[in-house]
Amino acid sequence: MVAAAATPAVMPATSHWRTPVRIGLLGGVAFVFVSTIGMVEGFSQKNVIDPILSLGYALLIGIGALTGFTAGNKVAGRSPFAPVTAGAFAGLSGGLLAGLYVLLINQFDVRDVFTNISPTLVELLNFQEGQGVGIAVAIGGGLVAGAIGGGLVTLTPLARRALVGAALWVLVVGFLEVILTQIMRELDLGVAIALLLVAAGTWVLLRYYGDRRPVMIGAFIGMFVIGVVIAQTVDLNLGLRFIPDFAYVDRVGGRALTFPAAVIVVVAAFAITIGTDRPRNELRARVQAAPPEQKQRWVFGGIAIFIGFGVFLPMIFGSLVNELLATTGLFLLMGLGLNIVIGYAGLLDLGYVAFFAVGAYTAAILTTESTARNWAPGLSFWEALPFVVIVAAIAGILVGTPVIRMRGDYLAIVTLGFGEIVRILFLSEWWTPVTGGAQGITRIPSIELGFTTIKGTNTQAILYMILVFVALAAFISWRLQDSRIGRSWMAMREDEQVAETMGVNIVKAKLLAFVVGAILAALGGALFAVKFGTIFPASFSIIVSITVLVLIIVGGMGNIPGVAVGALVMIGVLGGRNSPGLLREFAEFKLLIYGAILLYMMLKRPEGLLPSKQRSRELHQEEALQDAWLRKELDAQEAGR
Amino acid sequence: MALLETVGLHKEFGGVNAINNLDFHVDEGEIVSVIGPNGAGKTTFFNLITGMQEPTAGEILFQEDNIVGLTPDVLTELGIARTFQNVRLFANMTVIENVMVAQHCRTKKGPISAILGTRGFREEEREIRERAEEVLSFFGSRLVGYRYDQPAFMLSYANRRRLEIARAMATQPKVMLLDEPTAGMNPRETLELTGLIGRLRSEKGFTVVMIEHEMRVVRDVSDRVVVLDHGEKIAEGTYEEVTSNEDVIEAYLGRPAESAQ
Repeated sequence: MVAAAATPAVMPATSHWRTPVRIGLLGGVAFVFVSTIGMVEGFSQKNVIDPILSLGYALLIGIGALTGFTAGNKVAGRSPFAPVTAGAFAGLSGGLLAGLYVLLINQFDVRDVFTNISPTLVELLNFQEGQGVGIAVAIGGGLVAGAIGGGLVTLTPLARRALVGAALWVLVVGFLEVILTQIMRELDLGVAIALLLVAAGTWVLLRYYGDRRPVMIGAFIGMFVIGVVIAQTVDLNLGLRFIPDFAYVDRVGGRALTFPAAVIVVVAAFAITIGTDRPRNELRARVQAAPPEQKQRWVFGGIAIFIGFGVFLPMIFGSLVNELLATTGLFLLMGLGLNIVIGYAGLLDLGYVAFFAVGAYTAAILTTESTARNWAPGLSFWEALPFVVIVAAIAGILVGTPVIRMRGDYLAIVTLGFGEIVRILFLSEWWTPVTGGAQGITRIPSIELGFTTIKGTNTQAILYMILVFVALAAFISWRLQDSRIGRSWMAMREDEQVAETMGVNIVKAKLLAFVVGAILAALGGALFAVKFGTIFPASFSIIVSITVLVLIIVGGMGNIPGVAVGALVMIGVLGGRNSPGLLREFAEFKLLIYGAILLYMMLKRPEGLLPSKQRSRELHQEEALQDAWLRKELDAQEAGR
Repeated sequence: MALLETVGLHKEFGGVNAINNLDFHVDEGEIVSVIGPNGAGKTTFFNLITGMQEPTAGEILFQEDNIVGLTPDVLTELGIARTFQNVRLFANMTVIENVMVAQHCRTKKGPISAILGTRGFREEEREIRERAEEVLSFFGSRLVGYRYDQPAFMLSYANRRRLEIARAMATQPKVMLLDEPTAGMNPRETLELTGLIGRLRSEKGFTVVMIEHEMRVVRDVSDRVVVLDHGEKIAEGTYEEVTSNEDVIEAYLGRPAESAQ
């Protein structure tokens, strides 16, 4: 069947309908699956556009459209209507399956086995109108959604981008409700001025003083200080409160976008996509043609503006968003550390949580005064910090030394074991006088800063603290990557034996990667201990290692911005193990979505969302060769190849 | 004085003698070719010298010190560099990165100075880059300019071989071991590389030990030729001496020897 689809010229007439039907049935199965596991019912709590579209229905429509689009894509270019027909056909076959499912759940009560096929779900799929309407809508809706999806194939790329973009923007604006509302409500004149000052100042500095680094760095720092003073003193709300009040309404499942607001978002998205098409292409061409020094300046400008956001936005974010970002920051800190171990040095460490635990316990034991434990020196956080670093480095060496000669799978298994050993050690009877055993350590003190105290419950302060350490970790990663040490790690990842023959001391290079990674994770652990004020061995289970690994895989291994994107997507949006993400509706299905994302990424984009150059080359050598050929940068084929 | 010398070198793989009681030496400034039929133990010989494999018995002397048991990176630091028969570049690193990383053992700034970006560190990075560019310019215009930032896998086969030699040069060795540098090259490229090997000595002052099958290259550049067969040295001398040696002809062609020439 696959072969037939690939060679349409000799395809027998009967198999024209086979591929769409196959794709359609897959879509139908997806429909049945998301309904049966309760996703539709769960998501229908949340309205995307009030009152006409819930997230549950949006999901089903999305499945139909995607089915149609996939089927349409298989026959793209044959005739303008072929994709529409194929899409409609696929949608219809999926719709029939869906209709059958609706019929069955109306007739039989299977809640003993499938607890999520509840009366609510049945009513939802029946549109509160009885099974006839439910079945009709399932079939007809499948047909229409499939045809629309297929129709997308025939559109020009620009029109397609505008349409899909508009749909995505509605979803994004709906989901970012918490953050957008918070920003609009709390945005005060001081913060706005400070942000503008940083943006404008950065532009001026890069434009006129870009080649005078000391002046530039001094001016940047001055700018931020002035910005902070302005943001703290000027305290006048800009009165944008009316925007979220107009755009969102309160509903049971959370605030939803109102219909007029949705229309505005769609129109705006359309206008922006189509209006900026040409300027954007020109801009892209200019960026590509720019000399490296200019690109470097843009990168600096981007970093400055990013720091500006990091400094000023937490002032108006409120505790909910700040809490979310703090958790994201902790995972980002670990991600940056693991990125050094895996992304740079190529050592697949699955027991990374061990270093996080070591950092958390070292900080907690040294700072917390307690009568329950035998040994509690009661240092301050800052006095304890050097010990955290030293203990982490020792732990890095202890884990690294026995595995020096191991590679790949073996290394992964052994480090996995180390991760568990550390957790069990902290749990053990023998250590209880120091670590508190299963009860863990409670009432870990706050961080004293001299002029103020950073309590774990003050989300804004702890977020700043975490951001400082994240910035430090990013800086360390960046500097190391671009040095002889970073290059030796890269070489080691490519071919360990050859790297050694070219003069790289493998033992030193590996241990250094483990130690730097361990220190970054331990700093994260120390902040974790302060933030939550309580730590138990159970907080440091294997799933933490896996989560950190997943976020750097999804984000883009070996690339610092990639790791940041991964942390934002996996932790900030979807939520960590015990922390809710931005999409609280997804909490129940978090692992399912994790798995789906990971599968998709592995199949379609194994290098991650924002990959490092080296890694995307590695995975796409053919494409890179083609590009080079187009630029006429490839040698003419020399004989003897 | 011999720069590199092996005394009674022996390597056994499960009862098979890959290298058998081999006495070999190369003097400073010499170009010595090691030839022999397939499976004669030539590459094993290189692996033993560079520390990638450990000899079963015997001594390897580099500047009169026994170097048996030292790891490859230490040997590189002492001044032994090699290329590989089946080109083994860091394929996804750029051309210049390949050459820069090879200077690892000649540079010494640690992680702290890298993080702080000290003056010394920046100075050293600049030197690494300059030296890399200098080494690559040895090959004329073939590996310079936009090539610097091309990943190594994009290079043509011949350029990969050149880059491997460049990488070995960047370790600033005293002796260079070239494992079949002209394998897979066309006659024009082979001729060019022959000249290059000569220049390695005359311009850069390297001592060269080379495994080579292409007899014209061997003839044109070697001061001395060592013939291995079944891990044993069966002949040694100038090209003319070796090629007229009965044992060598037999090892290469078998009997009857008259059919040679």
